[in-house]
Amino acid sequence: MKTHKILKQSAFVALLAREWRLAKRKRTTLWITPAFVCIASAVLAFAFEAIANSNLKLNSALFFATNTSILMSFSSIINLDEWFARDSENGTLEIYALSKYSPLLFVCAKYLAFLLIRGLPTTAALAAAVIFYTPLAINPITAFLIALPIISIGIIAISAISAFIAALTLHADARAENALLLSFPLIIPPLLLTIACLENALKNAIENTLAKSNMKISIAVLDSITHITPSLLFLAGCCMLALALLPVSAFIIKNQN
Amino acid sequence: MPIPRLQKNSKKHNSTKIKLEAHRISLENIYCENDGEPLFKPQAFIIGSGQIIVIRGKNGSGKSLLLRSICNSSNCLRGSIKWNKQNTTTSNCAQKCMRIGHNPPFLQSLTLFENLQFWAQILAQKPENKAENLEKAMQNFALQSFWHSPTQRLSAGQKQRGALAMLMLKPHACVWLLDEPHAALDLNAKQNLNKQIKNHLNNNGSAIIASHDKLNELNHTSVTLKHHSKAFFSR
Repeated sequence: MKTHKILKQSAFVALLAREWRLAKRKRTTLWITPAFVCIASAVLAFAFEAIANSNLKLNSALFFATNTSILMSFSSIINLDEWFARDSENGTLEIYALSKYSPLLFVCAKYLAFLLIRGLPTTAALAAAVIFYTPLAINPITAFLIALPIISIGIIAISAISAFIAALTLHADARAENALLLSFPLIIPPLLLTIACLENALKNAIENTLAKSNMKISIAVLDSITHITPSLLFLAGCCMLALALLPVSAFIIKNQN
Repeated sequence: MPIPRLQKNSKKHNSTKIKLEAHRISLENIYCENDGEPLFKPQAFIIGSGQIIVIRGKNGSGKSLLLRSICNSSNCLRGSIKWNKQNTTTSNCAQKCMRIGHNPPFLQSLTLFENLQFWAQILAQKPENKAENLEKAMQNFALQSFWHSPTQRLSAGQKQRGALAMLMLKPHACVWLLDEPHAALDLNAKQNLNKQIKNHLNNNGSAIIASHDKLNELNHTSVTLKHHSKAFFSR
């Protein structure tokens, strides 16, 4: 019965299920990135004495430096070069080309699997890490809830760009090096926009906390998010542009294979 | 873990065997390029329903590349392919072909069942045939004993049988492109593979096989790839 159920899934779900099974077998895939983010943010927090200096005023320079480091670390450890390489090397892409499904379906499934398996835990870990860098005056839950949607959009954009770079460097001789080199200029815009949004939203949350100490968490989160609407729209636009690279990635893979 | 048995369908699939469409493919003046250089002298051959062409040639003569090129896995094919006397693109051929190469497209951490299950979902033409195709693959290539073993623990022969079982997952494929399919197989498995190839031919299918073996059991026509000389092309 179970076999029947699984077999009735669409090809897209089949691709997702395959990635999930693989991640489950290689358990390190699931926890290595969030663990790295947590360790890096904790070490950086102590190094910059962010916790000790719990000033009521947010130290934006410190916040910028530490979060940039964390996000940059994230972007460098997402194994850009391995996105499609494994499937290319074991012949999966060649046999997939013999099926009736388009390469775009393959790329989208891989992208979504990456977001669910690595992006989601990393987003949660990064949002939790933000708490380290916010003053004690602000409620940690408020900081987490503000950071979560902003970082999510950032990760969605960065992952889509990563897919594009992975497709570009699929058959490159120095795949890893090329991927890192290309990722730097392409990932910078969503990275900076994410940090700017995060910084402004948290600043607003602190101002609110100072003005009205008994403000409800939900109202504080909503107020901070709506306060940064223009820059959030920029980030969303950047995200949409990055997502538009997915069909380009599929085209590149189809022609490179 | 129990071996999946789909009793309801097992009777059904014996009765739902569909004859493949009769076809005739002519490959005219085809050759493959590697870094802009032709790998072998242009070849021309015709293959129709119920026929086998065996591609022969030295190591590195371009046998595998030719098979990959026919089914659109490589864009270095030059020349023309006509399907039933009409010009066709390699992407059209891809829908009608199934290629099994040296490297089984399996993820090593997953079991053979999980890998084949994935391919059953991707390659089946109709969603309702997926389970049926998967069971055929398991039975026709006797995969029961290592069905739930991780692929990385399988022997070369078992992996090859698993890879060849993928032919059953795309039953609508008229042309089988087999790249050294007998490699690593034991005697029984070789005989079983020949039996499957004969069944495919009886079902209006055809096969292009790259091989160094004699293949006496199979009635075939040989095409030998010869390394090109630059003088030949400059003429």
